[in-house]
This record gives sequence, C-alpha cells and structure tokens, in this order.
Amino acid sequence: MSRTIVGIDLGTTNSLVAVMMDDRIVVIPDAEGRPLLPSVVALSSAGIQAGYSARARLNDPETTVIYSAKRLMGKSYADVVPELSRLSYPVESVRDLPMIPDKFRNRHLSPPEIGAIVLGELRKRAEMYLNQTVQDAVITVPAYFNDAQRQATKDAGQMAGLNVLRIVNEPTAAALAYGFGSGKDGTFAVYDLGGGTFDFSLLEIRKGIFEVRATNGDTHLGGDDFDQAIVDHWLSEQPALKKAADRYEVRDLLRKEAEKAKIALSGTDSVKISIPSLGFESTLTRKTLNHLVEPLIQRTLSPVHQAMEDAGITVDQVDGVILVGGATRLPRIKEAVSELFGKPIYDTVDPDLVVAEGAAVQGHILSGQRKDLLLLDVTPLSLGIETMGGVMSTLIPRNTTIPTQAKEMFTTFLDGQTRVDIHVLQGERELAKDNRSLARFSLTGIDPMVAGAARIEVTFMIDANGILDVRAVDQKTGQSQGVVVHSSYGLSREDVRDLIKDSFLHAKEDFETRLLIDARTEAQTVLNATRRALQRLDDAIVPPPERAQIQEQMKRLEESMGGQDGRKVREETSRLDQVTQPLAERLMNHSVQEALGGKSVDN
Amino acid sequence: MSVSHAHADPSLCWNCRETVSDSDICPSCVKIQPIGRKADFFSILGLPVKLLIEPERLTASFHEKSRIFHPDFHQGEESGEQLISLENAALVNQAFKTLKDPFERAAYYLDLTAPHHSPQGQKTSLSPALLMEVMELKESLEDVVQKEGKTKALSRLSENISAAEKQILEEMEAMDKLSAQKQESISIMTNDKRTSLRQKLEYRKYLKSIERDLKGQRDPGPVLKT
Repeated sequence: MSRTIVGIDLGTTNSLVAVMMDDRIVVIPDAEGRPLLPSVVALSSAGIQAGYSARARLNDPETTVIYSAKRLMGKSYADVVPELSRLSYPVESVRDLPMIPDKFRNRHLSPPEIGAIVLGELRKRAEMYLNQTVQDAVITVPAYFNDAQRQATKDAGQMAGLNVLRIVNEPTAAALAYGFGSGKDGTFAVYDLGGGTFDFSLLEIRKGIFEVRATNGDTHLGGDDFDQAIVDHWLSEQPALKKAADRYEVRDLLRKEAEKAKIALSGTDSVKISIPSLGFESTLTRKTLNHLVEPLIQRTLSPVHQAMEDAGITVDQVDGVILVGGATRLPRIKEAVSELFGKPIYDTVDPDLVVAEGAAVQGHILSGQRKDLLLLDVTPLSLGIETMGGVMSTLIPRNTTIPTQAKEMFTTFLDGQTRVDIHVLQGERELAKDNRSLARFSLTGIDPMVAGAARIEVTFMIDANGILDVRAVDQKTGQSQGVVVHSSYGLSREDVRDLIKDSFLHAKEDFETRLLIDARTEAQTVLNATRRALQRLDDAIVPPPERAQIQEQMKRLEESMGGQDGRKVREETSRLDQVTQPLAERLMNHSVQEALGGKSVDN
Repeated sequence: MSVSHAHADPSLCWNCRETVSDSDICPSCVKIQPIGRKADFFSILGLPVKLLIEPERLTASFHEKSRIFHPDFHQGEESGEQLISLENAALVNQAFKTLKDPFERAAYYLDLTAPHHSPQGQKTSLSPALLMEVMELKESLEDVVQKEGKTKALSRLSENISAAEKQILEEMEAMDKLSAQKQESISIMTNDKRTSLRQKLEYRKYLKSIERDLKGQRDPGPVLKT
C-alpha cells in the first residue's frame, strides 16, 4: 500500500484536511461531522485547546485566545506592528520576533507554534478517521507568501510532526481540485475572498503545467468586512444602539446576527432580524445588502486589474473564474465576477473546501511520483540595485517565473573611481529609499579609468525557493564580490502589497523625480565626454564654427540641468547628441582607416 | 561553489565523459547537461533562429524544456546535478521571457545576428526624421489631452502603436522569407533592412514610453548606472 499524503489548507480563519481515497477526494470531518476547524488556539490554566472550543472562549477573560496567527507567520516584530491593533491578544517582541505570551506556563509561543497546534489537531483528526498514522502532508499558502512565510509554514508542519513534502499555492490547489491539468487547458482566474483576505491570481494551464502568471490582492478585505458593513447599517438605522455597541459583547452579538443574516440572504430575498435582549428588530433585504457590500466588491477589482495588466492578459483571454472562500457565496459577488469576465464561473466545489481538496490531489500526485504535472512559480516583488542619484534599477521585475537569472552591465560615474557600492533592493517604487533594502556590499579594486569605461557585471540569481544570490564582477580585473540574500530578509506579505499599492499612489511624483535625476545623470555623462573630446581634438578635426556650435549647445544643456524639468534636460541632451554626431562619425572613420593601415591621424 | 569544468570539453558529458554534442540529456548516462554552453536563447529552446515564431510552438518548447530541467524534478539528486538543473531552468525561463514578446525577440535577434559583433546593449539613436515624427506626435497628443482628455489621447496613441507594430511584424516576416530563400547566413542580409527594423523598433519604444508617460507610469527605460 502506498503511503498516505494528506492535503492541508492552513487558513487565516479556518483550516481543514483532505485526502484522496480510491480516486475520490474526502474532506475529513471531526467527530461531530464538521469539516472546518477554526484556526483558533486558546491558552488557559486548564490547558491548550484548538478549534471550535477555543473560539467559544473568545470573550473569556481567563483565557488567551489566539486567532489570525497566519498574519504573523514568517515576519519580524516590526513587520507585524500595524497588525496588532486588530488583535485582542498580546504580542511581544522577543529577539525582534513576534511572540505570544502564555502566562499560564510562563513561556512564549511563536506563530509557527500556534500553527503547529492547529496542524496537530488536523493530524489527529486524520489519524482517527483513517485509522493509521499520518506523517506526510502538502500544505497550501497564498500565492503571495514570500519564502520566509513559506518556511515558517513548513516549520509549523514539522513541529506538528508532519513531513511537509510540498508547499502549494492556494490558487493552484483550487485549480487542481477542479481537475484542471489533465485534459483541461486554458487561462483561469482564481478569485479568493476569505474571511479577512482577498487574493486574485491568474493561472495558465497547459498540458499539465500550472503557471501562476500574476497574483495580487488585499490583506484586509473579506467576509468580516461585509458583516461590519451590515452592523454599521443597523447602527445608523437605530442610533440608540450606538451607545450599547461600545461594549464588546454587544458588538460581537450584532456581528454574529449580521453574519447569519448575510448567509440567509444567499438563499432568500429578505430576512427578519430580532435581538430581544437589545430590543432590536429589523428587516434586511438582499437589495440593501447588495448596496452595502458594493463598495467592498469594487475594492476587489483594483487588484484584479493590476494582476491582469502584469500578466498581459485581457478579460477575453480568461477561460473561466474559480471562486474560492466562503464570502464568494454571496450572490452579488458571483454576479459582479460574471459581469466583469463574462466567462464560466466555477463554483460547484464548496468554496470553503476547494483549496484543501486541491492539496489532497497534489498529495496524491506526489505519492504516486507522477511527473505529468509541474507547478511554475513567480517572484512577487521586483528586485534590483540602487543606481546614481538614489534611483532603483530593476533587474528582475515582479511576477517573473523562477528560477531566474538576470545580468546587467554597470559602470563608474567618476574618473578614477576604484570601488562601487552595490545596494540590493526589493520593491516597486522608483527611488531606492522607498523600497526595502535587502543587502549591501562593495566591489573594490577596480582599475582607475575615465568615468563610464569600467564594465561591472551584476548578476541576480533566484533559485526555485525564491532565494536570491547577487554577484558583481569587474570585467577587466576579474575582481568579484557577492552576497546571498536569505529569505528571512524578505518582506512580509502585507509589505509586499503595501509596496505595490504605494507605487501606484506615488507613481506620478516618483516618475517626475526619477526622470529628472536620470536626465541630469545622463546629461552630465554626455557633457563630460564631449568636453574631454573637445580638449583632445584640434581645429583640423573640429573646425572652430563647429566647436562653437557644440559649446553653445553644451551651455544650453547646463542651463536646463539647473531647472526642474527632466524632459527639457532630455531634449537638450539629444540636441547635443545631434550636433556632435557628425564629429563622432568623422572620428569613427578616422579610427577605422587607422586600423586598416591607412593614413594615420595625429592625436 | 561552482569551481568549474572551465576547461572541460562541452561536447562531452560532465558525468560519464561520453559524447553528448548539443543534446540536453546525455544519451549514455541520462544526466542533464548544462545548456549555458549553447550559443543563444533560440537554441536553448530548440528553435530555429527566426524573427517570427508561432506562440504555440514557443510555449510548447518552453514547457518541454521546463519538464526536463525544473529543479522540482531533480530534488533528490546530487548537488552538481541540482546546480545544472537550477541554471538550466533559469536560462529556459529567461529565453522564454525574451522570445515571447515579438519586439523584444526582434531586438535580440538583431543583436545576435549582427555581422560585426557589436557590444550588446549598444544604443540605437533614432534617425532625425523619425525623431521629428515622435516630437510632432507628442505635441499633437498634448493638444488632444488638453482638448479632449487623456482617454482620447491614449486611444489615438494606441492606433499609432498598432500601426508601427504592424509594420514591424511585416518587416520581420519579409526578413525571414529573404533569409530562407537565400539559404544563406542571415549576416548577409542587407544592412539597410536591419537598420530599418532597428529604427522601427526604436520608434515603437519611443511611442511606448510616451504611452507610459501619459498613463503616469514608471519608465523602465535605460538608466545610466554607476
């Protein structure tokens, strides 16, 4: 009998485990028949609980209840600070890592340890159901997870006694659950709206090869926001409630009622709400609900468009849209997605279960050593180095398929320069200071030469796990220097999105600044070269009128460089290029003749 | 550390020293071979050096090579082979990325087949006539933005871009035909044709940069580095 490999969806709100049995996917339920396990852990003097029982203690002051730990996975404390106001449990910084104090046992728990408790619960569940030990697993993560987050997820599995054979992207898993990859080719969109996060990915599937073409999303947008919108609506409807809603329990009660009403409205047009304890009565229609959630649905569209643009895929090229996440049950969402794509919607697999089911399929493939499927991944953020004037020069743009390698030739800016500093950056903004610094190193021992003569080759290599290796080589001396950027330096998922979002907000101003800096830098180089040439060449080669004309244009260029208009600087630079072009051609001819042994020219 | 087979004969298998010539896998020991030894992206993907390539064919080659080299398929192997797998897969990805876009492919092709191997990344300057055209178009677009708005200007510009791209594709096709007929090396192709294509590619680049500018997007164009 071949070994059993389970598939696990370790979610922000809920987790679940599935397995393939006799070519059928089974989502393994708990003893009470429930397929989901809330990703919640409760710490109390009585012990540690996970799942429904932990969630039930959310308002118990004697218990520390930990939820949404996935948001903390693989991040530094500094990374999670913006997250903390949303969490009602304490998170402390221990060696710059976010740790949750367990006051009952006088210790701290890390996010992977919390994940391990949830995974352990799922493992127990699977062992009971299958009546055998379970060790091998495939765990899913959002396509956006960087390597540190993937590694943290792997660590969590290991702590739970699992051998994590593969980390799979959630959208890829969803497609696997629908049986894509064997026979069904095309480009598919995966629209994943969970409890608190939104992810959108574009997948291309051809003859068993799954390629994530682009991915984007919003880490703080999901079904919970829909519930909140309903509560806000009630509060504005009955202002008397507002005072009572200051209390956590009342808010909680209202949210639960809102969630119930929302779910009910997926099947009916109108629902009555009655909370006697608050003296609250109301009716919510589907029409009102649609109106309330419309702005939230609109918010999902911007990541959708961005991913499409990144992938260079138009709506017409999408063959279908897979819906994932409980919030996509809302009829208005299906409608909005249909309107946007006009393509078949895949929603027959339960959107809460589909990712775990896909993970089970992947587990099945791995157990059989099937090689007909291959999952190709991309890097979520652009990588590059800082260049003259503090701008970022990108070597590897985001959404590039990995592994990948990029080489580019750089040069010196000053005459006689003997070292260059290589500052490795990650992010989408124009200016180096606005992006994340990954590493710095210097290349020394460059032969002193005139500016622009040195040739320094910088190579970026990203392996299949997303780990970056940067190397700089002086082509003349062979001097080389490099650094390996470990994933732990990488960014948090929120950072990834914030950086991308930032780059759109500031695109215009960044663009202008960069244009100016680049134009000035280029102008300076052209000026220096021209000046040197004019000094070197006598009147026989540059007749005085031509020299005067060139000098005149040099002056104009210098004047423009004093201003703030990068375009003007560019125009003047290209004019200088044009007036010196005849001279350049003559020089070229001379040197060619010289090389061919013709009449030599004085230098 | 990749202390290497610097003087190793690339026509022999790194593992069993049998002759592999240019195949991806050694016929005797079935080990994957480093493809960095191949001259260019076309041969890495096993494609003829041509300007026009059907997208399906390109993708099929990319997938075929990915299946051979992807590190996922070489997990359990020794480190030397894993390194080859990594470098090969990176080259395959790079080759696909470069050749996928017809205009990027054309620029690559011109560099690759240049008669006098000029330093790569050499700057092409646009001819004064085309430069003038660009300037005029830019001015007239600014006018349109003022009077009819950005959307209108963008749609005007995209017509210009399409027209330029159509011309480029036609020239690419003509050049492919010519080199096939002559049955000769492409380096013989008249310089005029090459210059013309280069100019048109450069012209399109200018238009694309105006487009990015109009959309308020970043310019990934050439930057002077230090």
